[in-house]
Amino acid sequence: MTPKVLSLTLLSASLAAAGLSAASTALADESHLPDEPIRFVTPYPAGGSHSLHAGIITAVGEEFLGRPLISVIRGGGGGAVAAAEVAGSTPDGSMLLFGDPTINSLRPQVEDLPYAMEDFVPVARINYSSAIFVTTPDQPFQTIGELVEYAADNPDDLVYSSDNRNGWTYTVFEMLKSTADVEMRGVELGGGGPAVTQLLGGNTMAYAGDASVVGEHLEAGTLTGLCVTDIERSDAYPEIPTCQEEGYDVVFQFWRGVMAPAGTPDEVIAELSDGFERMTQSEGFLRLISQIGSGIQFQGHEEFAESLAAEQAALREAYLGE
Amino acid sequence: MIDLAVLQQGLAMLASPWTFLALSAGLAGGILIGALPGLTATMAVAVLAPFTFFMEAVIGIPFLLGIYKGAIYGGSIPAILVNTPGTAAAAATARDGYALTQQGMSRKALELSLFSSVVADLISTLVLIVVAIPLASIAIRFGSPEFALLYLIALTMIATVSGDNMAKGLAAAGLGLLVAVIGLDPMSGYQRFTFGSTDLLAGVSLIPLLIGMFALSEILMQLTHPAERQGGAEAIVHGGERLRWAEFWALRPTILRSTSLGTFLGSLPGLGAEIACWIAYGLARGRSREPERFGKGSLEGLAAAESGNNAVVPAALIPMTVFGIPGDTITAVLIGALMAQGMMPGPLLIQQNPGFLFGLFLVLLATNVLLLVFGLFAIRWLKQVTRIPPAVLYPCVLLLCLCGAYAVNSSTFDLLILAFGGGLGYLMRRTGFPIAPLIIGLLLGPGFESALRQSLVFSNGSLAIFWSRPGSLVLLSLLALIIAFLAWRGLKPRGAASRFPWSRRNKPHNAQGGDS
Amino acid sequence: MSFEGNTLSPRLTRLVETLMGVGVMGIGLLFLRTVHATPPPYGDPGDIGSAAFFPGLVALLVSAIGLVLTLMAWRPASPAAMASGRTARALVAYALMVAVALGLPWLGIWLTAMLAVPLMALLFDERRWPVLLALAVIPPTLVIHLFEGVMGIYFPRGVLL
Repeated sequence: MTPKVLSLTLLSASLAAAGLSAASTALADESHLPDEPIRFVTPYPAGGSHSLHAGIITAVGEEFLGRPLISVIRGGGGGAVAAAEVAGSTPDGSMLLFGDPTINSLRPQVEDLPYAMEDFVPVARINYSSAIFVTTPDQPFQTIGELVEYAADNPDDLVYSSDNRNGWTYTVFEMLKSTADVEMRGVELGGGGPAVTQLLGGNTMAYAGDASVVGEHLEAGTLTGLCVTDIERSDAYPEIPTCQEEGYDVVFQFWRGVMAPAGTPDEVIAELSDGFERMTQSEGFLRLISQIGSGIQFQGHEEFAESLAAEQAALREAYLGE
Repeated sequence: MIDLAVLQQGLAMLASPWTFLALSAGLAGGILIGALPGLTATMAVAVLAPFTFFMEAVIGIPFLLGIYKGAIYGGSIPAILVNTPGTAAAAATARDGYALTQQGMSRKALELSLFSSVVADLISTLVLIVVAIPLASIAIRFGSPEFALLYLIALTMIATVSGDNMAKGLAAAGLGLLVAVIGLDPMSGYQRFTFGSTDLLAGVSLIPLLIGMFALSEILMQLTHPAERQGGAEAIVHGGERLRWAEFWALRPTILRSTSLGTFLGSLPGLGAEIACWIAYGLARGRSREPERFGKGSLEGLAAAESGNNAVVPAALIPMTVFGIPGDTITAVLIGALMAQGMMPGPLLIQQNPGFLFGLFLVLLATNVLLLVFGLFAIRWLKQVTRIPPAVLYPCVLLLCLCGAYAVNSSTFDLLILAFGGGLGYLMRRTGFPIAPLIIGLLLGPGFESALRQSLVFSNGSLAIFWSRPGSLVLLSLLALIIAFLAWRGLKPRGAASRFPWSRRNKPHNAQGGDS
Repeated sequence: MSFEGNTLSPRLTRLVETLMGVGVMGIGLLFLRTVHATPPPYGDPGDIGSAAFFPGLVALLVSAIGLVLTLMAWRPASPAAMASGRTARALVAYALMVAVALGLPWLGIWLTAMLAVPLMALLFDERRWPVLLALAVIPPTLVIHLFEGVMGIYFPRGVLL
């Protein structure tokens, strides 16, 4: 049966590769990682950009970490369930979380979740995306300034597509509403898919999402980009201004990164970080990543720890006023 | 509306012999995976999709589509043979399919399931080749109020599957709705009914509960009421007779009705096959001249369930390819896999490469033909499953269900849900509570609640949104009609049965028959 | 295959029906209590848009139906009979299922599978040792390799195996 033969071939190929790399690692340096496959946990249901990235990472990662990577997709609670599980696991590098800012920086500070922000230590940041505020061409506003004006003039009128409470889209809209001092109503639709659907169908008037979700609509002209929540313009869509340029200080980089449970020894973290770095420089990996329309903005564990701490502090200040 | 050049492009996709090979491989693998109780189509697609990253597009995509189609069909096999839906969409199939098996007509059931699935998919695909894009633009205008009303209409189907005891049916549905509420509420951030448990944050996982309620309870029921084995003239027929052409032809209206329903519902992003099958089933029962046979081996019921859920498959590809929007988990995984192949489903793809969508449809048409061939071949062996002694069959089913329930989320908590579902299912079946309404409540509850609350955000709290929008008005009237019809049916005495609680008809709640 | 078995006595049936009705009502009331607790944990149950409305409404309905079911059990006309069967054996099987579900993380998949399959077969009156042994070895091997080898889904290894 072809799938079984195929998968057996892949399995034996990867086992062989594992054997080779284990041998070479043994020759070179002693590894601090436990001698078992590493479980790479994606906290969202299959099919989103997260699981897509995770699929690629686990498919090619073994060569660079010396251990097979097993992709575990454990959705639920907006990511809280998987995060709690990883937080409680043995801190030896055998279980890693593929996290993002809502799970690791924002929600643990503002919600009562079964894990704390401090339960995780950063290992490596793989990449980040910024949100693009979008609307449809038939709406009465076509720039972010016009949107704010419209909201100010019609306070109860503007309805936008949101994702989940304290999710990414939710947060950037809250930031916009607070800097611009306007009111708008967000409908929590659960994710990018339904959010874009309702926007295209004319039921909502605006949305802010990842390029992978809104990108082809921007190019096809079915959606208009308003501004980008980044410090510089996007390479793929240089004609869309940053929100800062337009006068609204909304910056939110939705990073995707590897997190380990707190208590993981430093050598393990360093080794993992190293391995991921080499992976993100490899041609095969980069090719696959570009095929899904994504990029790499790698940060090793030390750099990542710094930017993460800064982000967490900024969010604490914004939300809790400390 | 059909551009020949565009169809030619699509045909070019199929030209390579590798495509057929990949398709067959995927189909065979998908059927196998779907046929194992405990393994679902979603799992099959999600697990095998990363392998396709390394394949060329012309091989990878047909492979995935083959798996998808095969697994959806495959899910009906254990539903019919051992009362264990292989996918959530096969739950309605299990009702009449398994009853037919118990009556010694497993071959007829398997063949009917196969033919209905293939015919429904074929019709749906052909229709969609013509109306895909206009349908998509209608579908996309469906807002939360329309969805809320659609869900409500689907919820009224509970009345049709409650059997003789409406009160018990409603109780089951209510329980299903309550279980569906457990978990983190995304709109408000509250943890509802989690009673402090971390694992319940994610809510009660559907598949493990489903497997438990159907498969484990079936094992327990088999222990409680061992099948009588008598020799001689009353020997249990293994397999039974084939489906006769006349029987199939007579089911035309049911199949056509369920297919159109499935096609329409499938094109709405978010409503999946597991919901469409129940609506098709309920509607078929409402229109049937023999509604009391539903649940006891009605060919109509089986045909309706299978055509309903298979018609969804091509239709679900529409929001995916036309707008790049995933309708459910499987299409989400498909989108991911397509992206890894360098194809970004969405309006750009339609503009630049319109042949692509039609190529997909042509691949689906080819898949159906292959499915027919494979299916008929498989049935020859499958009907022998009833020969396997229960002492061997059911322990293996238990093992598969155990592993399958764990595999959904790699969660040991789900095993507890599995066990809980088994106990609950067994209790319900012994005491005469129908399981179908619980499943319907579980499936539809969250969708209905979200749509309702979203609508209220849209309208700023006013309920008027449900009749001020044209689409909602239409659906609201439809809902009123359905409720009126059901009430009329319920009040009208028909023979010895009336579906209201004060019926005097006594019927033992036993291992088979009726609504278990 | 028509079923002509024994049915429970009307009194027992009434008792079971009553218990089920009370059970359903109890579940409804439990949820109702949680929703209407002070301070309201999920928002105001009266407000349709809140997180508490839908659960509150359903809990109310379930409690009401539970009451109806309990009352129906005491109608003068005897309620629909329930079939009797080898309940004890089914309960033992259920205990096995629960044990397996709880024990898998500790015992590991191999041990659990190799024990559960033949034990369940025993409950189905299979007594032939060769068959039981085959069941202990072949299905676990096939199934576990299918999941771990082909599909890449790994099971807990447990403390022992």
